Amino acid sequence: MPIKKMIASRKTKMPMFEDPDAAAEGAAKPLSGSLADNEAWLKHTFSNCSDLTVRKLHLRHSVPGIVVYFKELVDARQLDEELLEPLMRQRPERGDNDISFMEQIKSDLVPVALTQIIDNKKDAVARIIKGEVVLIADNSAQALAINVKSTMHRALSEPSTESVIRGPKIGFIENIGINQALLRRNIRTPRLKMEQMLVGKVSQTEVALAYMEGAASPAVIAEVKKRMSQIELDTILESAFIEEIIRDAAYSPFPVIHVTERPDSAAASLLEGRVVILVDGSPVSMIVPVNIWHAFQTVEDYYTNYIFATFLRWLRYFFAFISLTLPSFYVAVSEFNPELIPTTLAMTLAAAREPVPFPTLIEILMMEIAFEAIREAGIRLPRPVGQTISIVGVLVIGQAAVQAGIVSAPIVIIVSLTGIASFLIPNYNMSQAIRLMRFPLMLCAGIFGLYGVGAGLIALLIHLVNLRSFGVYYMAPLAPFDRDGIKDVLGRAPWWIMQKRKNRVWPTQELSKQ
Amino acid sequence: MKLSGIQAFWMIAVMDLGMTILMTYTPALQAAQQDAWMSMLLAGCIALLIAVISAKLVLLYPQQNLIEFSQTIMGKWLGKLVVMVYLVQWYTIIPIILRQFSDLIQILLLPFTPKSVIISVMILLVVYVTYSGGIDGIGRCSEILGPIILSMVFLVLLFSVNNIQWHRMLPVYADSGVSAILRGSLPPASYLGHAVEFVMLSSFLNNPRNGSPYAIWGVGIASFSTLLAMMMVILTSGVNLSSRTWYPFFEMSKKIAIFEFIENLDALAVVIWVTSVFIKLSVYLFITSYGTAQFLQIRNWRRLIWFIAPISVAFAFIPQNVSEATAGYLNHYWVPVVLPVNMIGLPLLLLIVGKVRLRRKKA
Repeated sequence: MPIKKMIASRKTKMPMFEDPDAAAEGAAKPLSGSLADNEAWLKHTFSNCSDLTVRKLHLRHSVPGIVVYFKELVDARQLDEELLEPLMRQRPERGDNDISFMEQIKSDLVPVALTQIIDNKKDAVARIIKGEVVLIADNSAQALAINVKSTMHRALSEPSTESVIRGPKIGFIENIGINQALLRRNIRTPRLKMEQMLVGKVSQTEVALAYMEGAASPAVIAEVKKRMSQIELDTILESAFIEEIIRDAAYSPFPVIHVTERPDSAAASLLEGRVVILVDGSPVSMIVPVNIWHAFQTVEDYYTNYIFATFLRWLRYFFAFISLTLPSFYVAVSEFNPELIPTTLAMTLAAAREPVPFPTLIEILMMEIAFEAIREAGIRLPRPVGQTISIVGVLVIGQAAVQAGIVSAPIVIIVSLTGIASFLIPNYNMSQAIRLMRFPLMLCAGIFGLYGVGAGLIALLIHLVNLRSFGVYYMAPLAPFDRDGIKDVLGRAPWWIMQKRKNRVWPTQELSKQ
Repeated sequence: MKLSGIQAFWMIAVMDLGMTILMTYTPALQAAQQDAWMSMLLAGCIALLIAVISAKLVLLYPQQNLIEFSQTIMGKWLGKLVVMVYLVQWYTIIPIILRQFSDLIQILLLPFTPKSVIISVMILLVVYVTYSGGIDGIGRCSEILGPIILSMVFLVLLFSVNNIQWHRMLPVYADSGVSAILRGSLPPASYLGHAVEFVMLSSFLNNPRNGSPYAIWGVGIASFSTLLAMMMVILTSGVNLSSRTWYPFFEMSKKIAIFEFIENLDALAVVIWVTSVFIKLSVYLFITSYGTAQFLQIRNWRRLIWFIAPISVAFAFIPQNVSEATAGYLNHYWVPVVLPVNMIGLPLLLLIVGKVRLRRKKA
């Protein structure tokens, strides 16, 4: 389905709440010249906002003015020392009248670096909401926005989802400025570009597109910008909002946008020619375009011995396959082709299955769903309770169910092995997709045996080879084959070989044709 | 829709390999007995010849496929006649493959499942890949499945090594006569000769002029593997036994036993083999619908899939039993008509006429 059509169709279905200010004011009404009018308008706009502060003062002994701000959003010390104090100190009036009153205040009285003259109401409201201080004087249709935002963010810490044994123990946080700084610290060159965009009709969330000039494909950058500009959401609470709208193949469970909380991982992607999207308020950055192998690589692969890293990658591929197919293989083999199991083992299995009243498919579906439920319960509950859940899950559902003869012991082994296997996939979204795909495969196996498993896997393969992430095939560099890229897929080639490869991710066909 | 050389290589190799190993060993063994391996060698040579002719043929007009260049070379009406001959081949091969495949699955994996269900599952997959991916989607699938299928074949051969009984090779040359060897080589040659479909694929290549080595290598690898597998079948099962079974290759894989733990691998081998049928059917469905669309000048070839797929399923039920599906079609149409006419005769004719025309144009 063409992406354009898809975005358009999703756009119209989005529920939208009208911003009353925007509707009442029109596009951008100018500020009034009278202080009283402006003050009344502000008080009306921010009625019932108890955290708004309007402070009256006199500029140059004579001119009445007000400063307006949300008191919890500004830095109190900076406000006092760098804004109010100089304003109060009241330096003598300058003679020239070439520049406006506000320009004079800006250049003479306010020693804060980030100030901006504004002249319409919409800007004024936007600035106040963002945590800036707006200064309005009588007889002036201009206002001054002064940035004394308080820096409200947590300390930098290691991301809990992507921990490493060796490597920088630092992660992105919810503040986009700091995240940009973290990227800049990793890549010190002016070729690293960061373009800012505002997304979200009401929230005006800051979004930064980071890419390496010369390394990233201009077509991909243009496409990302185009898709971003088409977002018509009101508010962006997390980067996931954007991810779901700009991704290709919205109906696929596979993550065609990679996410990371690690600056080093994002920086590595930048150097490979990918685009990193940072969203204010979210510690999760998005990387495009990616292919499926990305989900099986961790940044630590590049920090450990390359032989061991290669081993780890194969371990992950193998267990991802196990996680996807083991239950269905078990169903197919035990129900349709028991001769595939070695004789002695088959005897043991048959003995274990004897007291169980259900067919294998029902048995394994019950246990798999129970396992998913236990996992979900463990994540959502407070940590101490979560541990209880796992004990209850292991004891009650595992042990007791087998003893009661409701499920057979091999099923418990299969289900727990599948569960552990799914934990080996570093990318959480990929792990989710594979966990989900297990169930249709199990059904195929229950109906058609090994033939069904084969057919299900082929269907999955067809889906995967046709998937694209911003013009790059999802299964690349395996299909379409690329000898350079394969070095980082079949294993982790040592750096002296890897640095020779062409480190570029270019789309395989014109993006506009999608 | 663009195809890379490697994709074309795997496509042709897989198309030739899977069905040849399964379907042609019994007739070859019955005809040539102990000398069946020589029949395979001969068949490989014939297939290579077919591949070389096709590769030369597409070089005449690299940007055109069979439908277009046959009309360029032979003129409008004669060209259309040539295309008709190929259309008959394509429209009959899909139901036959479907039928042969479902017979095999029913015998080996799912004895209680009706054929119609087995066939429907496969045709759904084939339609899915052809409709959503076109020829390059099929190409990407074969790029991934090809190595898996090839390694399955070689693993089965490798694991069978300890079942070898050398005395079965003797006599190496039983002197069954040239005609018997030739007769035995025709069925495998006609299956390996599927490489002739390269005349439809070549124009989709990124660089059609450099495509021929890939096609010839594809046939080479497939011929070599089938030769090796045939020798292994003779060595492990012997001629007497294997010429009386339907699927000697799977009989061989059934005998595998390693560490007394990995046994009865035939079911797994069948599943992997299914993927080669899937590739073959997808290529044929694409060629058929694309070719028909071009022939009838229908702009959207994808629409024809909805017409060809159900028809093929319906036709798949015409043969009454396994032997009619496998041997009847092979002996009465594929070997006597398709091999000499569609695979060798017509491409050669087109090649000669095309060369003459091009030379005359230059002069």
